[in-house]
Amino acid sequence: MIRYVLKRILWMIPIVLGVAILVFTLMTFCPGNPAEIILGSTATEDALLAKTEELGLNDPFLVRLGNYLVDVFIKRDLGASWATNVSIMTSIGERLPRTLTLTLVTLFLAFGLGIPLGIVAATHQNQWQDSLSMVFALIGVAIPNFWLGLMFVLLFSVRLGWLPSMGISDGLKSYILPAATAMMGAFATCARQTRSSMLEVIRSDYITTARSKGVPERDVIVKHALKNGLIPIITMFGSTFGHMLGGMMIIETVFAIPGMGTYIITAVNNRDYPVVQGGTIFLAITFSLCMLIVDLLYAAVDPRIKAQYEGQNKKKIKKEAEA
Amino acid sequence: MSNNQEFLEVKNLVVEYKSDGQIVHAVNGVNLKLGKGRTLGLVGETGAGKTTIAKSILRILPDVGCKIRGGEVHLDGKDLLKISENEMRKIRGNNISMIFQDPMTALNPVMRVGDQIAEVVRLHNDGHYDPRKRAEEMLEIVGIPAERYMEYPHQFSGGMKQRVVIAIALACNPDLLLADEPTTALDVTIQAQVLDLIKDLREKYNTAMLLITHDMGVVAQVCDEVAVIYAGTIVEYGTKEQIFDHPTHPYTIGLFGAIPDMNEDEEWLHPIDGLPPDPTNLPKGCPFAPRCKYATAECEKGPIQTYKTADGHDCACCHIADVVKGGK
Repeated sequence: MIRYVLKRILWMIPIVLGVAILVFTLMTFCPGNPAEIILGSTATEDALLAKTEELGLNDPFLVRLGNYLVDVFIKRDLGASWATNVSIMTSIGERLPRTLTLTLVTLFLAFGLGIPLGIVAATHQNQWQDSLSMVFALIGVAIPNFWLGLMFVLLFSVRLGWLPSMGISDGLKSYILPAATAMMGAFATCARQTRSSMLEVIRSDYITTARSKGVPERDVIVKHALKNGLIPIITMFGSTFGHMLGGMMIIETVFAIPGMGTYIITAVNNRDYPVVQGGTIFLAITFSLCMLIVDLLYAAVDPRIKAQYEGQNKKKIKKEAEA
Repeated sequence: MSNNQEFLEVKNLVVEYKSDGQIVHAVNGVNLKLGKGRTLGLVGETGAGKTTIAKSILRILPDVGCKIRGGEVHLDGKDLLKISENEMRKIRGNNISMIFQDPMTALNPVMRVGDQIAEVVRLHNDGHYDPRKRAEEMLEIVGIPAERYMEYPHQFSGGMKQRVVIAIALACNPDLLLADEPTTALDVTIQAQVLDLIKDLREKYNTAMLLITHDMGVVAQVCDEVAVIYAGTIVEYGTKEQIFDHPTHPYTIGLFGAIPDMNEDEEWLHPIDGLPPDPTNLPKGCPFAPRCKYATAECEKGPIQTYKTADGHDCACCHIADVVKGGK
């Protein structure tokens, strides 16, 4: 098992390296002179030339790429923003906890509500509970985030005055409305996914076996069925988690949360290349880690998958022994 | 036959499924009797309603689109179809347990096999057993080393899995065992082992057993009495000797005809011509009439009466006399 984890972590190196090269190349060939963007259109010719030289933009592409990769992977420094001159690592360190908090609260709500709703729908297939849950889920996917966010602000902040409408000054309380807004899509998908996965499991023979043993219906669902139906839900959890870490731009914008999403979007708008590159590399790493955690969760839930992971190693050990 | 001693009595059981708006008549007025410690073989082809009968006794038919329309299931004088779900749950796995057809899918893949056995002990524990110890003991009884308690079903072969299923079924010393084709999914050498195991354990604990099968060989080895079922009705009922030596229903005779005889040089098997009737549209009279060479207009008129040919030997056919004369 440890070998499997190590192998996966080693695999992350080429992945992240590839992402770094790709994003650096793309940004280099973007039209427009960064020096001009930084200094503004009123800058003099001399100032522009000086800035271009200072940014190292006159060097050949491969030299710049090499320098960048050395900075990132050997010196472990993502550089500083062109716009603000603040170290990117510092900015990420500041912003990541906010996005992370938002993501965690969102996922907690989405899965905490979605899984039970999906189970209720599956255990009452084709009855009113099922239809109601699925209508609810459909509404969840169909409502656009930004609109729902504004409606929530209108109701809970303006009318009722229960929760802050924007910013992060109120601690965890500030994250409730943004998370409630952001969770809608994931919640609906989770409910549907849980329903279909549970429907399949509930029809299996081992569920009949459990019933024939006299297991109470609640335990049949929770102890026997849910664990078997969890795999697709875990997959969804992992990818949603990864996406949310970098992709909460709309929510962060609507609720004025200075997180990772707004950081990268602002950088793209300002042609702040180092931030875009650094942010992308960082997200690639976190996404890969999320996927690794998902795969480890599979093994924790399903012994057959765990055996597979261990089996791969055994095969390899055998090969090594033969060689 | 003294009726007082009947341990399990199924009376006039009717079960229907709903499928695509049509009603599937799976079980149509079945009567069964089983004494303590006896074994009744329920024989019939696929789709005849054998599994449905067993699941009805345990009340574990799927909730959706399946209904017990009528009848009674008495266990030790108590009608199982009338008691509450809670009471029924205490009977499942404890007084009545079931062995399923396909051991590959009958065990929960993400639960340790030992825990799957211990679970049923824990549910019905009256303080006698430590569930874990009992589970280990059961593993040993069915011939699996107790050290394998912590393993998962995928680490077991098909025959071993069926042994685990049997261990689960027998862990609480049930009075009645419903064995639904327990050997069908296994290969022949393992079949014999598993069958012997079931036989031994059944004798040891004096468990009554309803053995569902389509294999006459299995019936010959294990059963005391035999019920032949066709399209959801029992067409012939008797002791093993009566059924094997004097089959009287044309369907039963046909079943025996379909078994190759090793002593004779036969080039062809003798299948029964035709197919079983569509269960959504059963004939009004004898369900076997369309395939039966003795059939006359009388067979198609209405429900067929059951005739006694000997003590304890019943046959639902209106041409018994002709069949016996012309049969074999």
